[in-house]
Amino acid sequence: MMDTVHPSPAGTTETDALQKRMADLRVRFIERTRRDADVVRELRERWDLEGYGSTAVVKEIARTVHSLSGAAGVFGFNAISDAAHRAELGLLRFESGTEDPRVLLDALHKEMELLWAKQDAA
Amino acid sequence: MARARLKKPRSADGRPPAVDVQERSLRPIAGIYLPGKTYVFEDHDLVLSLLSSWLSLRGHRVVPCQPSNLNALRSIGSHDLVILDLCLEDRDGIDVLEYLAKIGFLGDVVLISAFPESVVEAASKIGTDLGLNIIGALRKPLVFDRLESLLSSRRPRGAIFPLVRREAVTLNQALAAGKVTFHFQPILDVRSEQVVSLELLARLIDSSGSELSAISAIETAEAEDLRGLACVAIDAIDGLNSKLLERGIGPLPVAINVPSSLVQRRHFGSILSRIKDAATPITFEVSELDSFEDLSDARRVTTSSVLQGLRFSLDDFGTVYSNIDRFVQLPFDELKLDRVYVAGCAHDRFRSAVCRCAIELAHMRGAIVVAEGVEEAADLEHLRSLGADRVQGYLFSRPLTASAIADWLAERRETSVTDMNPGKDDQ
Repeated sequence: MMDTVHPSPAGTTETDALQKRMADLRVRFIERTRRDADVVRELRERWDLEGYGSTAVVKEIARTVHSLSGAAGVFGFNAISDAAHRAELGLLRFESGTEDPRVLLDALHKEMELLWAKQDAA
Repeated sequence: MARARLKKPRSADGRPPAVDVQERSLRPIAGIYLPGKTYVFEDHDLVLSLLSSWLSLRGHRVVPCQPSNLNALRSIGSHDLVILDLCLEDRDGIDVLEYLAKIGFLGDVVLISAFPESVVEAASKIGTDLGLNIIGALRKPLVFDRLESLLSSRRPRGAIFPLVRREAVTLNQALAAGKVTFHFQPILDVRSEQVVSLELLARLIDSSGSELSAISAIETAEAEDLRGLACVAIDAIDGLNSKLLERGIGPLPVAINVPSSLVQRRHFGSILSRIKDAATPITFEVSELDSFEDLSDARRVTTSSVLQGLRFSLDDFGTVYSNIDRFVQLPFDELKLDRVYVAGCAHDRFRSAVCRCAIELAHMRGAIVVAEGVEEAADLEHLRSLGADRVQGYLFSRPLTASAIADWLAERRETSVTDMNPGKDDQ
């Protein structure tokens, strides 16, 4: 049924529109990272309070950074994507005696601060 | 742009490198776009928004499913597409796959995930086990060119892969009715790209005249029929040799598939003399699909046959029974690396590692390695760099009838002669 297929309708104008859409979503993504950072900070506070045995909190933080990692990669923020991925792995593999994943979360936070600083300066 | 990006190094954990969108060309690429809707399950609203825009510009009618709204799938049809992030807020992607299977979804499914490759591959296999048509799985960060490539491979459902259940044909019935046919696929030297041998593939013809793979019939066949098949196969090889001779080409070695259960003295003895008398060297590709009835007996059969000049190959290495254990059990001359690990080995670290290890293992035992299912030039180049000996796959030729393969070889030879004598025609 090849007659039912049709070529891509996208052309230069549409591509420009998509680039514009991407630029808009990048700005929104940067704003979103500030909220994500707040969420992670609150979860870390809970983690400190509940103790390191609180696997539910660990999973929640891991889920947040997992989402952040995937989205950052899509929008081209590779350093944040990689730092979030490392933090996620650190959280999922965290057991007594392994590397403290808070160090990795700090590294992720620093990457986000760099991004915010760039945005503020622009 | 796309090829250059594929060559970028991967990060230490094997994740594909993310691409800076400001460098990324979001140009439209001509391709085939099917009618129907595209249901997108993606948790991150900004990613969902971008993906939806990207798909819309390519003619997709996007149905965003966030949160994972299974009710949206009520009217899903066989021309539709589902793009599914495995990690959703309110459920995991396996739930969605199970739901799609439950409602009998016949369309295409693309999986995306930032989870490790082992998880994504397992999810993909679950989907296939459930009867879904998983056309691909992409690791996040999502690279749109890869998605583009995947979607352009979509074909109208039913046009190429009919899902019609045919009445099973047994090997016994097919042999009795003369409804067994053979195709040949060339095997080439990886460096010279010269054809060094052919693999013979048996097919059965059903009542509608359609050709079916003989694999399932062979699995359930009686030993007597398997011996019968081997004799018919040797006749087919003799027939091919005649056609090659007509075109001035000498006989080529041929590999034929044998079930492991046939590698027993009581079966093998009756076909051995016929094999030894064949006009061309024959290699037995021992199937990965079944186990040996009696390993000790199989070892005696193969060792004795090897001492008499026959060759054995371990087929589809890396799958089912075709493993390291089996490779060291018998005196194999050849290891055939399964297409599962060959396809995409140039860009996939795990597949590349499997290929490299298999090649090293085989060479340590004095065996050669044939990589099956080579379809991409990049994979061919990578296999060459890893030290594979021979290659086989659609990059060179699909399986052809005896006449067609004879023509193909003749044409290839003429091209080769012309290439070796440039300017000859100009004189």
